[in-house]
Amino acid sequence: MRKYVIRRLLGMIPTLAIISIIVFVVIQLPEGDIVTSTLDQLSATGVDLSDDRIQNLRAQYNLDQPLPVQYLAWIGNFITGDMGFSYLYAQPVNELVWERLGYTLLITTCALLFTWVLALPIGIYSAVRQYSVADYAFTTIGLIGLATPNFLVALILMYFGYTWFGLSFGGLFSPEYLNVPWSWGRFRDMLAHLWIPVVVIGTSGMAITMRLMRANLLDELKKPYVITARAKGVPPLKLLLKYPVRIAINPFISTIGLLLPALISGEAIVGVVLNLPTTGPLLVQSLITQDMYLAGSLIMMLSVLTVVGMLLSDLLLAWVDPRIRYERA
Amino acid sequence: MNPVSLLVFRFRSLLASFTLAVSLLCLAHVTVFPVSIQAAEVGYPAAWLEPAQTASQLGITSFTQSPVLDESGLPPVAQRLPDDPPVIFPNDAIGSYGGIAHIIADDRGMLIAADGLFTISPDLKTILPNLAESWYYSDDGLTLTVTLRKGLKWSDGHPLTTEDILFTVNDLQLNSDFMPVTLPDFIGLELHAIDSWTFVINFPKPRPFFINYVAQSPEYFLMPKHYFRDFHPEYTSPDVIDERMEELGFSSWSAFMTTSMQKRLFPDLVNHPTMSAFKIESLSPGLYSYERNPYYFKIDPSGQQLPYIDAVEAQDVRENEVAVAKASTGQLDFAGVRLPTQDIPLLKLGEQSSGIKVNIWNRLHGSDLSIQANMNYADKQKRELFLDVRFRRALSIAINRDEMNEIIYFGRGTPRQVTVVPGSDYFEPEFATAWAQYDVEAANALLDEIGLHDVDGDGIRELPDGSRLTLTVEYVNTETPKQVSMELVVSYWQAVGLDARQRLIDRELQYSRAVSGELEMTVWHADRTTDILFPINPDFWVPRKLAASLAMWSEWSRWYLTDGNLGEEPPPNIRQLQIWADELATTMDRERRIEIGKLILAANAENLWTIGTVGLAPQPVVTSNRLMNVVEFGLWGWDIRYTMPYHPATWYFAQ
Repeated sequence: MRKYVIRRLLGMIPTLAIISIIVFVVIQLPEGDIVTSTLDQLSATGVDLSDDRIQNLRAQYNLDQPLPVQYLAWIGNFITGDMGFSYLYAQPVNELVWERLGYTLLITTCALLFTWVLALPIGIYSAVRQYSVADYAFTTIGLIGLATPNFLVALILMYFGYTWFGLSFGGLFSPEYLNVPWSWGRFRDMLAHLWIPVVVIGTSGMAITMRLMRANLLDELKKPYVITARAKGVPPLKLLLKYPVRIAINPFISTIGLLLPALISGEAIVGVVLNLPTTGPLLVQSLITQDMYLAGSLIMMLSVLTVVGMLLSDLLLAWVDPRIRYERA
Repeated sequence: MNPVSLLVFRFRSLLASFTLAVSLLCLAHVTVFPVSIQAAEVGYPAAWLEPAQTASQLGITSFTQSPVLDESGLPPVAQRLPDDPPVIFPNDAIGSYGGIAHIIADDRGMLIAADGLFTISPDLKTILPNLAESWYYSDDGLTLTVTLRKGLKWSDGHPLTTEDILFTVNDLQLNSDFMPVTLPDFIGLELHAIDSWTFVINFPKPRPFFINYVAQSPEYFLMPKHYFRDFHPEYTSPDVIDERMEELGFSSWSAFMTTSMQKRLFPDLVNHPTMSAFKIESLSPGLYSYERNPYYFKIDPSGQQLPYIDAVEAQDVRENEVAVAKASTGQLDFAGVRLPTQDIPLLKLGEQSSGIKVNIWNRLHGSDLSIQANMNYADKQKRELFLDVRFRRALSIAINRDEMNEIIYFGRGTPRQVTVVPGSDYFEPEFATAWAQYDVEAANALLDEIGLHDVDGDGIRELPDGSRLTLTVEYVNTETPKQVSMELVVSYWQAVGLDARQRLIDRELQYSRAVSGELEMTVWHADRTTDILFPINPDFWVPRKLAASLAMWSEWSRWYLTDGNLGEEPPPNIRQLQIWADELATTMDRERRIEIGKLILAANAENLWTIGTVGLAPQPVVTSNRLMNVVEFGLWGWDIRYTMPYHPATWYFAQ
């Protein structure tokens, strides 16, 4: 087992190296660079994108150096934990990312729990009571949730949050709590705002989780071992939870690996609409403006998390499902 | 376009259609607008049009400060103010201290007006003293002598002197490490100080409008030497600077300094001394907090130190839709820059329920759209077509500007060509109306005359040789309502048998293609149309600059900029424009100046280098009901830095 893990870990190195090159090149592919796009942001306040200013800025930011030199400088620092400098925000990427990561983890974890706590039981119920009124009702609601764009739900919830509860639009805090030290009041204020992004992000994954669980479980429920167990008089709930559910849940475990990167980038669009102080909007902004160190470092973080996550999934799956363990042994 | 931005892009247009639907729903309810106020009838305080009087002139001897400063341990207010502070008259009433203003980050330049050596009068022409007390030009225009007010202080209490100006110009703008390419406005400048308050600028050729430039872009002239000398190799050893840059993460001291000069929001900004009414106090993700500058140099007529408002909290809002939602529900004390014209009905709806005032200002854009056909385009046939004045005229008169005004601007804009604003010294009414009438018949006749006939009978005109003719307008949908406008314009052109298409492109692409002359046709917005910027930047009428906003004659501009080394030599009539523009910027003779300015604009009226649609468009400016002293009607634009002439330091909160 240890050998397997080490082999997998070593295998990650070339994968990540190739990813890093692709990332760096792809970010640079479109026309323009961070200089033209920061100036462009300034041009919202009227500064014109004139040639002389752009040349000056390129020289100041060392952007006139050849691409391989820029790449080596970036990846060398990245390995030592220095993710470089964000031109867009004019500060080190490390600072930018860490100060936002806490909120990101909070929101996405809550959203994930929200999804699973609701969707898994509903999925189980729908499978056991297939074609019941409740099954149709949940399916309909779930599909509406799947079909509605996230940002629209966000806008609608923001509107109701404002008209019903008097919550300010967007952000995680009311204006009076925005810039004060943590207190009970501030915490409660955050909770009052938190439910909107949690519900918005949560509902998007709800339908899929629900339907997957339902489909998987239906497959299992028809299998002979279930019928046998039922015939032998195993209590229905115990039977359900101990065998078919355990197997039906496997696909979710194997996708836990994909949840890790989603923690960082999953709420991007919602984060933009809701003005959340999270990493998603940072990623979107950095890609639009081709802020290469920020974008590159964020995507590299995503890649590392994906690769690590896949390993974790495999290990977890082997742990949960004895059959896989035996096959491998 | 990369995948994520593509996604964002698609999502934006979805969002836009959603908002449009909501706005239309709202339109059904709100139909009444207050009657437009004409600029001439607006009663700004007379004092705003004159150099500000000082405390001694008005007999003000005692000064007071905001109560929040009472316990601060700072020197008394009289010592913090300059020796003889300028007095700013508020728009309506003497205000009272206190309160936090909530805005979105993009409006911070509007609530916290830039304070530089000079300022701009609401008449959109006159330059007035600000930090500078007085100035005079030598008769030949080659020397400008400026005297600063005595006793001015930066926000950390350090005195502002000519040292700071000299540092900014000599050690930064004219330093080749900092500015490898010297900005055109600084080329050949020589600056020296006579004493701590008086400095002299020598120009290589007369620069009567240099003060306009300084007034409009104060940032480029005002950096606190006592702070930044620690980051400048002229004053500090490179090792120490390198260490500092390492700490801050910047690759070079010049990058650091540029970021500071651009007033970008970054952590070190909290340490930078400022002359503005507010200084930044903290930055956190998505929120920028400002507090009052205790050394701000202006007072009100009752001796109270300005500003009235104690603090500003600016939230980062990235989506226009969210900005509009926040503004219309009364969550912002001031909003303007992110409020689209189309959302006026939505905002007006909020006026009835949310305790806000929605004032409709006029945008300073001479035209919201500057439609440009590339007369230097690589394709020979297209180029010939675009060079034909009949074609440009046909394009112009095929446009139904009145209908556009009704549909997009609720009838509150002014159909006009790309030219200066009506109050300008250089304005003639026919510059705005030339070839701006809607005349499909004449447009068709012109196109027929050029030889663009529908040969194959499909309703679409072909080129004279019978080959296919398509017109592709590529542009960025930014700042003014370009997309909805172009949808109409394209339909008008199709109505005269032209196969016109439009395509949104990325901002980067706009820049690189405009500069290299690869855009067939494009659209920008015509700012720089007041007497503040027109004489120094007649960009839409003379090829003399390479920029994203100017795609109709990049090769002629390149020729001008490189003294004929690169680009293409312009034809004599275009060359004449360049000669005129040079003279306009340098002549000290006011009569001659106006004469040339009008010649340049008349040439456009006749030739339509660029085609306008609707200008002086309505701009919603939303304030909370508690924010007082904001002018009800103003002009909104970059030329005057949006609110600079309207003295935001005098805005206050009603108790």
